[in-house]
Amino acid sequence: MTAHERPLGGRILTPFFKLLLALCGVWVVLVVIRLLFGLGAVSAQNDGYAWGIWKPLNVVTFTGIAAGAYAVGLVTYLFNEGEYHPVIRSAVMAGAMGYTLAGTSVLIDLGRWWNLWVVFWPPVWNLNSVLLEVAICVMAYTMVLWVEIGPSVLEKLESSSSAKVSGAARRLLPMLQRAMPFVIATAILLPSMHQSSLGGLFMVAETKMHPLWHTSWLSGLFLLSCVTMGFGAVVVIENLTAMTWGKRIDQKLLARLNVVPAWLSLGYVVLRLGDLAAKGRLGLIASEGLYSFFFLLELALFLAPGLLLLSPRWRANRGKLFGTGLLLLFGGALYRFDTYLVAYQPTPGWHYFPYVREMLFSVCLAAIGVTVYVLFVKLFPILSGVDEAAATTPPRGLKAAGGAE
Amino acid sequence: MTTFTRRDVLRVVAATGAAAVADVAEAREPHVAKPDDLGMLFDSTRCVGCRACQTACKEANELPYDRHAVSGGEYDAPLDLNGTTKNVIKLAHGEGDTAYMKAQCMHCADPACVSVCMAGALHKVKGGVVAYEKNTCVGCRYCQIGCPFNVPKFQWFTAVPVIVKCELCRHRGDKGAACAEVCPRSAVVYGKRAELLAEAKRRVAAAPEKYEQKVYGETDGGGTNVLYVTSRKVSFAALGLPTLPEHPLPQLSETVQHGIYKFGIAPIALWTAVTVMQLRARKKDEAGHGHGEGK
Amino acid sequence: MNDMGSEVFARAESTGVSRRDFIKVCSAAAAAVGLPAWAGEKMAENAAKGKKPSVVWLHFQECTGCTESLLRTSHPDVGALILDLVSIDYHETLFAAAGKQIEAALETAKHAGGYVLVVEGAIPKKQDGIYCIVGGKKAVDSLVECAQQAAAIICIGSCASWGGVPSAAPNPTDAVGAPQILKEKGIDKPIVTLPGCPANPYNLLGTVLQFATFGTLPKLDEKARPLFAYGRVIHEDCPRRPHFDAGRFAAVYGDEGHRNGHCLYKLGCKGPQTHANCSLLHFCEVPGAWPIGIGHPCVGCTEQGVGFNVPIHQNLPIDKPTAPMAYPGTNEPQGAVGPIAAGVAGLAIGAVVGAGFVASKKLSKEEEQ
Repeated sequence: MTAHERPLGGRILTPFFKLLLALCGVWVVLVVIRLLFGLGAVSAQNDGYAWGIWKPLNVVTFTGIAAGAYAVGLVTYLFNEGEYHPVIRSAVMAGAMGYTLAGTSVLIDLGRWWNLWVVFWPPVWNLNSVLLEVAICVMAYTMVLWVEIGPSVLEKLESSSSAKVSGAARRLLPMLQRAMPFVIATAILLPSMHQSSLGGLFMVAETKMHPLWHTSWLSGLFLLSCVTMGFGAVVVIENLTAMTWGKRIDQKLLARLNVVPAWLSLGYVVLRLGDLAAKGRLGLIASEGLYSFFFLLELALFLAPGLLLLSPRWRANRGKLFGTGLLLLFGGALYRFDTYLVAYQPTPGWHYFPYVREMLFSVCLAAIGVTVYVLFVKLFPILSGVDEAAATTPPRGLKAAGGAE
Repeated sequence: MTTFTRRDVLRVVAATGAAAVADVAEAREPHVAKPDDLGMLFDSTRCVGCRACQTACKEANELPYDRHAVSGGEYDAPLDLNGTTKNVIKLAHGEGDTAYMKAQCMHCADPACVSVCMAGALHKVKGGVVAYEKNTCVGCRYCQIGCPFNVPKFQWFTAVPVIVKCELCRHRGDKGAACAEVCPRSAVVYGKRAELLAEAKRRVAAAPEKYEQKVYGETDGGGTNVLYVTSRKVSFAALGLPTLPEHPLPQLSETVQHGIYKFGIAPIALWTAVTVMQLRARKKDEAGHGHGEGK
Repeated sequence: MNDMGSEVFARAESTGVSRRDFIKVCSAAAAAVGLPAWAGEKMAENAAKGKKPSVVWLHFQECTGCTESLLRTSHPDVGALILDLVSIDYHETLFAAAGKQIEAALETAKHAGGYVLVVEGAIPKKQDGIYCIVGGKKAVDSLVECAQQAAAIICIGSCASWGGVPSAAPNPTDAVGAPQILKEKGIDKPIVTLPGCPANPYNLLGTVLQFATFGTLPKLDEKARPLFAYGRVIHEDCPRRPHFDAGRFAAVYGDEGHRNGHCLYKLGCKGPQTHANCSLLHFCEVPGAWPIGIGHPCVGCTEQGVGFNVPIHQNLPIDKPTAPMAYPGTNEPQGAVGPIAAGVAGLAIGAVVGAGFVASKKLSKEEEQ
């Protein structure tokens, strides 16, 4: 049962939205401080832990959540399961925002950000660098995701009161739709490349990583876990938007969708344990103190949803599916944090823990994402399961795009 | 309604797993140190901890003195290499004895930092010296993650930071490394790697009861141009030199990356496959429903 | 203190030294030995009461530099005072007497016994020790005889302590220090060595006065050197140490570094290997009058194996890093885990997990209803 996407409508400047804007303001302040006084002024990153929480959280975890677009995209476009279209726009919106946030965070985190031109200038490229590939792919993919939002925006603009705008939209939309197969192919290729490479970044640090985490399979494991995170994200965001704005959820659709992460999660567990067994490192699982604890927690966070999601009864229950969706997100996030921070030890003696203002930066960055997401779903046809009545209520409190009255 | 068959699942796994190819690829050829490469030899049994090298390095590189952040900005000696220190002397405790350790860039034959640097800001120049050029550096600090010796340091408290590390005084031309020039005990000497390695081996063989019978950097991490010898009482590990495999650190990473992306075959194949699938699907829909699948 | 109306003070006052100066000298001597301030007064008291320890001073293969340095104390006229604080019963340089008269004085002193024997100069062993004969007696015999009656033996100067200059290669007379002779002859008496070339006179003064006042000798190291003077190497207390630590060296005499008073390590200074207190107690009572102070590297004259053995301008490795806390370790702790931040993070994660759990349960129940 497909439901057409509609703008949510309703007041924009709700108290919640105002809170979000305040957090956005705080973020701007933090950015100004960073630009004037250096990274050390707003983050506890140091020469031992040159990458603190911003990389694993703002970049890798946010894009993992954003990978809902990739995950649903794989299922929808690789297998042409058209029935998943109702959730795809929301997932792509979250994807676009997630990647924009990640890119923004990277920009702030770069010490010499004015040299970003090198990423666009092939003659200086070092093709051995995994990070270069990540940078190029992430930037390209962010653009692709916003192009994928294009149809939602254009559909809304088609019914604009301004003739010029509606005319332009009417011309652009079919053109965009014709280009879609190529856009979609790019949207499948790019995350396959960089999501795996985000794990591949750490292959070079073999002497500085705990043997429970370092492996040549880092790329594969990160790719697999980003897809499971993506599925988890879709379920969680669908439920969050439903709880916030009362939109309808197609539970049967979500139930069918979520058999995929079951197998992928279990596949992750098998691959992880198999890799350790092949290297003769299984014994470490029990003997490494705090490292063992984190490893087992990770494994549990993948194994539990993997097993639970195999049960159709479980998947049919909205709350339970939401719960395992969260577990998938936590598991993927923990795996990323563990790889980037917990398992990484430069030399004995170095310690790192983020400052409160550093964590605040991430929270405020997420707030920006939520702000834009909320704005877009209220203005443009992104969410499905929205009642007609709600859709015709014009957005108030902010000059709506397209000049709707 | 569509249910997922095991085949479908396998297809998804295969599609995602295509990017996870690892050990099947051939290992990338390591770069080896050339005999004429410029380097240094440090003999920890000779160093007296006078720190003339530390001072000379600051002067030769026009680096400011360090301030101790904890004590409120007074001048103090650095605890480690940092954003204004390219060379530092540390005290190492061994078995019943102590020795001094001179820490600076090791100028690896196959450096991890060079391999990971996005736009080649860190690159090898004449003489095998690992040089840094700030004009293409974005400050991503991947080099800090990659270096097994934790050498590159960053300037955390300025709006215009750079990465800081020893560059063997390449700006001094023939005069060579300033640290070696001032050492009163010739504990650190500068010269061609082949000659330094021969000298190191000679010393170690001539006094086997005194020296650890290994020249660190000969093959460690694929070989470094800065070599170390030490006494039996203060091991290399006690000096702070990590135990490294014999292969260069970037080898695994580059092998996997280039294995996956060789000639761009895998990416192009995936992209083409999806495009073809989409175009076919659209044709089917247009034929069946009379209007395109909108997105 | 009014009972100090002795001859000593009278004489002192007549030579232009006040009672205060006298007590000052005694206090300085006490301080040099590491004794408390009141010890100086006790020393002065003893001296006034006429309790002067007997001292027999033997000279062997020496240049008399140690005696001369003792007399080269200029202000106040402590030379005279020293001769009054202790009773020197035999001294070849200072005595007016000569020949049989002076040898008779020695016999008298030996017969009395219980004196402090001060030995200056090395003792040759070659060919039964014939290469140093004083008053018809071989140095070896003279030393053994006097040592047997002595209460304590002080070897002043490097020559008497371990052989000094006469023992420099090729050591044609097989010169050795007094402790070695005494050990070979099995004479077990309290021995103090005060190496130096010359030894610092205040080191001698302090040692003798402690013995005279309290009957004890200062704490000694394994080479019988008083720790108060020889416990540290020159390098540890050298005023030019900051230059060493900053790597500022004089490379040749007269260069800019030398003129600026930089460290002399590159010129071969043996300060790091040499136990002595020259950097603290300068010579001739002139501040700065000591080798490094005037720009010449320490030659290690107090240290056996270094002085008169290693060439003056050859530098040696430094075995022990002094002031080890001045160097960073190889793995210094850096970065910190802020407790507040940890708390905040814990709360935040807990809140998210908790909220998720609650929401999941709630939605579950709704579904079941």
